[in-house]
Amino acid sequence: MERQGQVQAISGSSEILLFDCDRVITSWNLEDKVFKWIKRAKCVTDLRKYVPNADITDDTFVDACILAGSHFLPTLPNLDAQNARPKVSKLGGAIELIMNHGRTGHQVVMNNRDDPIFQRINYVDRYRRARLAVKHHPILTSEGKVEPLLESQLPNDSHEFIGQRLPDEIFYYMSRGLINSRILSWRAASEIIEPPPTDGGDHTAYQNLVSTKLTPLRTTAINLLSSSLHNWYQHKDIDLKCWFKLDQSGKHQAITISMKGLPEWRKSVDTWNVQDAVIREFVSKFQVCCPLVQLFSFHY
Amino acid sequence: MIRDFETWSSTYGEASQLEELQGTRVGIEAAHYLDHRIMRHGSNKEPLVPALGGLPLGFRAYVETDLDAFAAFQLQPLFVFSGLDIAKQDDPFRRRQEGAIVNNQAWGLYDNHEAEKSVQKFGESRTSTYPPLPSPSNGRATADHRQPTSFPRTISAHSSLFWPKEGYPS
Repeated sequence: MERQGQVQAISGSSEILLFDCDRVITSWNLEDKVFKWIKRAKCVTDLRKYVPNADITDDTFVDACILAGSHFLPTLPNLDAQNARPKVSKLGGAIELIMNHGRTGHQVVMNNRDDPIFQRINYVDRYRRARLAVKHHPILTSEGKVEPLLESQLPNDSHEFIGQRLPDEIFYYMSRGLINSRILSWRAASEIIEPPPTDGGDHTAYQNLVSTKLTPLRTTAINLLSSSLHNWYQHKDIDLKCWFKLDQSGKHQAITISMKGLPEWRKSVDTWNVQDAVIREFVSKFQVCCPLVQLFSFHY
Repeated sequence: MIRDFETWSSTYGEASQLEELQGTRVGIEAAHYLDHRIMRHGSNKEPLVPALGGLPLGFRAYVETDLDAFAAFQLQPLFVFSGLDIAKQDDPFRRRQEGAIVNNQAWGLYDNHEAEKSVQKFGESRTSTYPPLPSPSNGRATADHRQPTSFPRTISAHSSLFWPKEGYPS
């Protein structure tokens, strides 16, 4: 967005540096009317301290950020090991490893692929997925299309790291705030995660509610949503993982929710006939910023 | 959030006056803003949110104060909300479970009539019942029903969109 001139600055978490941007506003202090920001170039300069005389390319910097640990990938196990130097930051440690072992993050990971820790958590594979997910991250263009970055270089099995493509229309509705990403995430990941409530969730009544009683409502919502998706999504079962369902090894056990043989809700929706005047009146009751109002002001 | 990044970058991060952004439009990652500016921000922090669940009681007021501050500098915030998540978390329950342990300790203090310590303990809990990546469609983060000021405060709901995590259509 910044490059296209839609915004003049960006504020957010440090992960934004994984992508092509020069400066990030990291925090706001509106009380004192100041804000804090960092420059990508300064980060790179600072990393040179750890590896003097080395040429840190943009790819190397992104590699170091990924190995340091972020939302996309846990920290490289070597950097968390007991003999890791506590005073060196994760990023500094990562850049040292990269520069001393083949100059790419991939080489660092491959050197350690026989390490039992790496094998247990499948780190090599996860690194590759994370690296490619960052490189080919899907973005919403100003024309309303969702595309991966560097689409021309995209490998054929890209669904392995960025997943399957959903219809552009769905993404558009979500970008306007008409569809909540929560139910779409359930469907896209075929997984519902149910974390414990504020009190820790020891009551069987609540456990019963989320694991069993809510299921018909959830399947109805997912069913309605997926009726416009690929046929495969309409009938794929969903795993429900609850905080209290553990197997003998202490892992969270999934309950399978069948999406087969459900009533055709779409048919009942097809009979709805909402007149233009009715929806206009309804929408006009909402505040100006409501996504529905925005959408309608676009279309009329 | 890249690990260790804040401590590492604290020495050479730069601070600037808000005036320098006057008249600009700034893209703001909504999840990051809500977490840092609203849920865990010094003066806005409500320690009992983990005990009560839901959003802080002053949620709307905090956001509106910030919007006013932005408007005073003719700074147009464009909040970008999260889309589908591409990454799969190792243990999606961990944060809530850690929070539940702290909450239990806090309730223990409460039962022992140590009210102040109890509130303090609740304040340490990271439990929140709102989803970590709030969706724009609940509209609460974007509500602004007062008269528009001369400078429009655009609060839009663009998502950074991701593909789903996995799946294999036949």
